Amino acid sequence: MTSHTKLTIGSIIFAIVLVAAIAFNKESEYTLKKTKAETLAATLDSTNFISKNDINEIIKNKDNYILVDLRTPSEFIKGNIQGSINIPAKNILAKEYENIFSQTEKTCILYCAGAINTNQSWMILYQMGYSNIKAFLPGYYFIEEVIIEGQKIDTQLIDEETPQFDYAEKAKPKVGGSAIEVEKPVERAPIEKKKKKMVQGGC
Amino acid sequence: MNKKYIIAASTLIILGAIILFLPEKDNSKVDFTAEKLMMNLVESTRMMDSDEVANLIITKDPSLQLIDVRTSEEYAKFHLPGAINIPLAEILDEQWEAYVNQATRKNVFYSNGSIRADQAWIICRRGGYIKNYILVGGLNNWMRTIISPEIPEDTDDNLAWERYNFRKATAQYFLGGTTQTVVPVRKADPTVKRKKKAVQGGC
Repeated sequence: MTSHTKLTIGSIIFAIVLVAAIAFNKESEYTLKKTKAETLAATLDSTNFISKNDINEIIKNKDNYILVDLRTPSEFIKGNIQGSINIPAKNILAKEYENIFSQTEKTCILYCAGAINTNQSWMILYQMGYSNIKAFLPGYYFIEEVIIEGQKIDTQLIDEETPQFDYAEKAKPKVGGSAIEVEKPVERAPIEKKKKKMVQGGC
Repeated sequence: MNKKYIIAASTLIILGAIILFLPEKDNSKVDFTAEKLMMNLVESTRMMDSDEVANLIITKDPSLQLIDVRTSEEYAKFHLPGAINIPLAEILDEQWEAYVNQATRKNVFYSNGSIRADQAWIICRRGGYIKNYILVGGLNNWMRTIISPEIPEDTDDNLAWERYNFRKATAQYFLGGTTQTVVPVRKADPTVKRKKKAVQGGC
């Protein structure tokens, strides 16, 4: 074997190892691309969260949006918004939905039955680097009942981050330390004692 | 020496030098995949309900650290006893690092509802911080359950009544008084002895 062939074999092996190392070192598919500081900034940015006023416009003008219903399939079958697609919250990482989140033509609007799931799904997808996604926290039932059916419901109850009470007032310590509410004894009408009249008369 | 060997050797040295000066891989990003974050999110142990937190406050659990993630104005108006204020926007500030990134205390994040606390939790979890919890339902639920608990129906099971009694007791603790109505024991009226009057009259 000449030194030339040795060198060739050596460099081929080297190249294979190098390529293999690069190939296997590829980032995991589910890597979180955004840092925690970026995520915090996006979370505080109210434009990422659709307000109750804006959702009306979105429902009317569905062409520019993809409505993503995060509820379970059984809930989705019972009632859904026309044109919306069902991606259960626990399946958001599934491969089949990747191109829905990664496309840039339309904005994805996430909503679920409750705000917690919507928020969590949005935060995960945002950290994965999908930036064309917005969340609607009041949820599906707000859209169904208020926007489609036109019911008047106490919207304060739906928005769970709005204080529902005046906390300081409600949790005000009772005056006077131990505020034992003593039930007042029932005042009874004084019983008039009947004076015995002296036995009079006789005779 | 053969020229080819010199070329090969110098290529390897250059490659080595390049690898040496490659930027260090940010492992915090790689370690935390979206899957892991999702698995963390479904763990129910990170949620604490208001009864659990009330119990920790009353028993003066030294490991409990309540963290109010609302704004400082909201905190000034009302906050839970012993809570410190770390607004969500400042959660990653260096000054609070020692509070949120630790392993000895139980940090319970709370806000008006669950969402802001959960957002703070997700961002902290993303940073790899442990021993953080959230108060489910936030202050709204706290007021509904701990401060003014609903009286269960007569037909409700013992558990509901036990919970109610516990909450009545906690309300007493937090309000510094009692909402229990105490009916005073009414002493029996001293029996009036009737004096026997001498028989009068007669002839």
